[in-house]
Amino acid sequence: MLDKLQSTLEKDTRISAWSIVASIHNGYQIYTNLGKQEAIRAVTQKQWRILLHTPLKNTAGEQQIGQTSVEIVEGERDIQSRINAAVEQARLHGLPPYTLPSPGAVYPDFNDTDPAIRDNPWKTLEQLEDQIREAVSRENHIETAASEFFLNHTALQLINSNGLNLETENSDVVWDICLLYNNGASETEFWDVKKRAGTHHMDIGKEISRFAQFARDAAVAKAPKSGTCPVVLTGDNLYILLLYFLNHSGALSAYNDAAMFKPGQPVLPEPFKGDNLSIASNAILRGGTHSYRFDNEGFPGQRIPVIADGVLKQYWGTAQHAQYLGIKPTGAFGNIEIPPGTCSWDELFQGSDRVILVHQFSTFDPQPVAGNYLGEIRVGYEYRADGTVIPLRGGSVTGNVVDGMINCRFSRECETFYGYFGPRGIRFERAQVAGD
Amino acid sequence: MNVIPDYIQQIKDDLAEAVDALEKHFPFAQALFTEQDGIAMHVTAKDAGIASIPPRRGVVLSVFNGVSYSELATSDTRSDNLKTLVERLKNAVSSEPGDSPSPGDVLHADYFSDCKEDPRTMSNRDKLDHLKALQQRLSGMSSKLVSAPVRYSERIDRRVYVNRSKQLFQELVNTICVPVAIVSDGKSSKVYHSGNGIQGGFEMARISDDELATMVANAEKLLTARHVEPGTYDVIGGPALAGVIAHEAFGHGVEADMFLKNRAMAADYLNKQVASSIVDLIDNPALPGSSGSYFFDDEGYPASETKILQNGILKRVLTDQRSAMLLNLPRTANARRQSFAHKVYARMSNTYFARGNSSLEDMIASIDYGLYMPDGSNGMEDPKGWGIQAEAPFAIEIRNGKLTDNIFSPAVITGFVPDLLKSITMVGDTIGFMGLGTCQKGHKEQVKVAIGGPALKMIARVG
Repeated sequence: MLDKLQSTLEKDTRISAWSIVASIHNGYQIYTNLGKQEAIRAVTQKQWRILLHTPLKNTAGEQQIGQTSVEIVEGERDIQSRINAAVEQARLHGLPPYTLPSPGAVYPDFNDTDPAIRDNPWKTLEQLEDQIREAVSRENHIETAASEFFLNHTALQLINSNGLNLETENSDVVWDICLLYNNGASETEFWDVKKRAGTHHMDIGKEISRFAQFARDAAVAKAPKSGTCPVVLTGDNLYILLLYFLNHSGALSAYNDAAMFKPGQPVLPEPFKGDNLSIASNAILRGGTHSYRFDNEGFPGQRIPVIADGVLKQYWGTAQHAQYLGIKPTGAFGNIEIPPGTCSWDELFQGSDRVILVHQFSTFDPQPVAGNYLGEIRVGYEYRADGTVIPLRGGSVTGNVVDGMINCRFSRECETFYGYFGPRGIRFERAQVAGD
Repeated sequence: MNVIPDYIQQIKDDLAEAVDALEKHFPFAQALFTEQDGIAMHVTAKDAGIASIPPRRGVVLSVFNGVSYSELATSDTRSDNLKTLVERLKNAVSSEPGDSPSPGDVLHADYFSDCKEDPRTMSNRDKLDHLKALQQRLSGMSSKLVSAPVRYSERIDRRVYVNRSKQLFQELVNTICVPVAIVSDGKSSKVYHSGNGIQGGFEMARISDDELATMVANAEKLLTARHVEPGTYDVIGGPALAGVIAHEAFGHGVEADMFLKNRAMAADYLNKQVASSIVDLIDNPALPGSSGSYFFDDEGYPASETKILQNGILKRVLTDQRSAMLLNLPRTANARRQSFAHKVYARMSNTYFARGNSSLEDMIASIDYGLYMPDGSNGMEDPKGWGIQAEAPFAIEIRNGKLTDNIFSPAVITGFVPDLLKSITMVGDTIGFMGLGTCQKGHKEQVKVAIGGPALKMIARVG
C-alpha cells in the first residue's frame, strides 16, 4: 500500500509536497472482574496518514501553499477519490509556504520498545495477571475488583517528497486497575489507570503494594479543613500540571499571538521566591510515554532546553509554525524534563502547620491557557507539624500554576511519571482547599 | 443522502455469514462494523485549515463461549479476512456450558439521523467562508482579544450490527462548532468558549452576534475574577452544570458493569431515596437531535428512554448485554464501544435532569447569599464512594436575591452525591442540553454523549 500511495502522490502534478506515515498497530487486551476473566481481545489496525501541499497564489500573486491531511485505512475502496478530495480541501485556503524535513539530520539510536509486547504479548498478559494475583495475595483484606491490560505495539514508517525514509517502532501498556479493601465494617476502593512505555517500565508488585495502602487508607480518610496551605503534587498529575508552560512556549501559540512567553524574557510575572523553573523537551527519555526516534513530520528525537532558570530560551515548534516565526523547528514536544530541586522529598512536608500531598485527584485537567487548576482529592495526605499524617479523601484543591510556580519547591528525588521526568514532588506554597 | 452504500450491504452480508459460521461452534456470536469519516476545520486570524477526520473503519467479531467473551477486531474488512478471523476464533476459543445472551427480537432496519442543513450537500468552500466570517465577527468584538479561533467538525458515524436475529445499520451525523475567545490584560490570559454540538447539520455553525458577545464578555470577566472563599453555599447550577452533576452522579454511578466489579454503591440503593423528591433523572439515546443519540446500541438493542431516578428514588440502572444477563436486570440501550477497536461497556447517552416548575429569576431571588454557576465544564465520577467533582469556569455572586458583578473563577463543587442531590429544593422550568463533550469510562473509552437539565438550586461545597 505504501508503494502505491507514494506512486500516486508522486505522479499527481497538483501536489507539490507530501508525507506519508504508515502504521501497523497490534493491540492485545485482557479484562478481569473479581478474579474471573471477562473478555480477551486482539486488535489489528493498518493506516496511512498523508499530509499534502498544493501550490497556490494569493491575490497579490505571491506563492502560497494549500495543506490538508487525509488518512487511508486498510481495504480503502477508492484511493484516487480520497486524494482528489484532499487536493480540493487543500486548495480552499492559502498559507505561507514552508518546507517539510529533508534527509541529512542525525537520528538517535533510540528504541524503547518492550520486546515482551512485540514478541510474546499473550504470554506477557498471563505473566502480568500472575503478578497481580501474587502481589494482591500478600495484602490483607485486599482483592482485585477489576483489572484491564492493553498491550500495544506500533511499527511506523515515514516517507516524504524530499526523500526522507524512516522507520521506528514503539510500545505502550495501559493498565486499568481497581483494588477493594474490606475491613468487615466498610468497603473502599482504589482505582487508577496507568500508561507506561512498556511492561519493562512497570513494577506491578510495587504498584499493588502502594495501591493497596491507598485503598486501606480510604476507609479512614476524610475531607481536609477549608483554608489555604502548601500543597505537594506528585505522580502523573505533574505532566498535565505543566502543560501551561508547553502551551505558552509553543511556536503555534506564538504565531497565533496567544503565547504569554517571549524568548529571552521571564515566563513568570514576578521573580522566583523558591526554586527556579527550567523545562526541557526530552524526546529520547527511556520510560517516557512521549519519547520518539522521529516525530510525525520526521524531525529527529532530541533533548531541547525550552525554559532555563525561569527564562524562555526558545519556542519549540514543528516545521510549519517554527518556519513562520523564522526559527529552527525543534520537532514535537517530547517528555517534560525538569532538573532536581534543592530539598529532599521529606523536606517538602516541613515548615508549615499542615501540608497537603495529593497523589490522585478524581480528575485533573489544568487549563493550559490560564493555568488554573482544580481537583477533588481522591487520594491525599495531610502532613501536620506534629509529625502526624492524616489520609484525605474528598474536598478540593484549587489554584493557578503561575501563582504556584512563583513560590515553589522541587524535590531532589526524581522519577519518571508518564510523559514527565523530574522532581518526585512539586510544592506550591499556597493553594485553596475546600473541605469540611 | 439517506442511501445505504453498496459496501455497507456487502458488510452486512459478510457479518451475517460470519455470525452464522461462529454460531455453529459457540452459543452466541455477534458482529459490529464501525466507520467514521468527516472533516474538521479551524480558522484563526492568521491561519485556516481543513483536514479529513481519520476514517477508523473496522469490524469486531465477538463470541460468547458460555463463560466469557472473546473478540477479534480488525481494520481489514475484506470478506476473505473476515473468514480468516472466524477460523482463528474457532481454533482459539473452546465452548463451555452456560447461559447465553439473547439475540432479541427479529429486526432488520436501517436508520439515518436528520439534518436541517446537511453538511454533505454543502461545498467545503461555503463552509470555510462562513467560518472565516464568523471568526472575523468575533475578532472585532474586544480589544482584549489576542486570539479568536473557531473550530468546526462534522463527523459521520456508520455502524452495522448483526446477530442471528438482527441486521441493523445506522448513520449518524454529528456537528460541532466552537468559537473561542482568548483574552489578555498583558499579565495573564484567559479563555472561554461558546458553541455546541448536535446530531444534525451545518445549522450548528450559525452562531449569532449575541452569543459571541456573551462569550467575549464572560472571557473578559475572568480577567478580574477572584478565587472563591472555600465553603458551603446556596448554589444555582445552570443547565450545563446540572448536566455535569447528572452525568457524574447517577450516570456513571448506575452503569451496571460496575455492579459486576463490586464497584457501585448504587447496587445497595435500588428503589431507595437518593435525591430530593422533586428530582427525576433520565438517560435517553432516542432523544431527537442530541449528540448522544443513536437508534440502536452496539449490541443491537433499540434506543429508548430509561428513567434512572423518579421522585428522587433510584429506579433503573444502565445495562449492557453481559451485565443485564448476569445481574438479571432489565436490558437498557446503553451498550457502547468507542469503535470496533474497543470493548463494549454500559455507557450513558443523553443524561439529564427532568424539567421542574421554578423560574431562574425566582431561584435567584430566593437566595440571600450564594453563587450562580451558569456554565459547567468537566467532572468525575466515584461509583464506589459516591463522591463527585463538578467544575464550572466561573461563579457569580448572589447577594440579597440579586446577581452582583463579583465573579469567582474557577469553581468546583465536591461532596457526597446523595447529600448534594437531596439538597435540591428548586428545579428550573427550562431545560438545556450540551453536546460538545465526550465521556470516558475512567480515563479512556471515549463515546459521544450529551448532558443537560434545568437550573437546580442546591446546597454545595464550593472550592
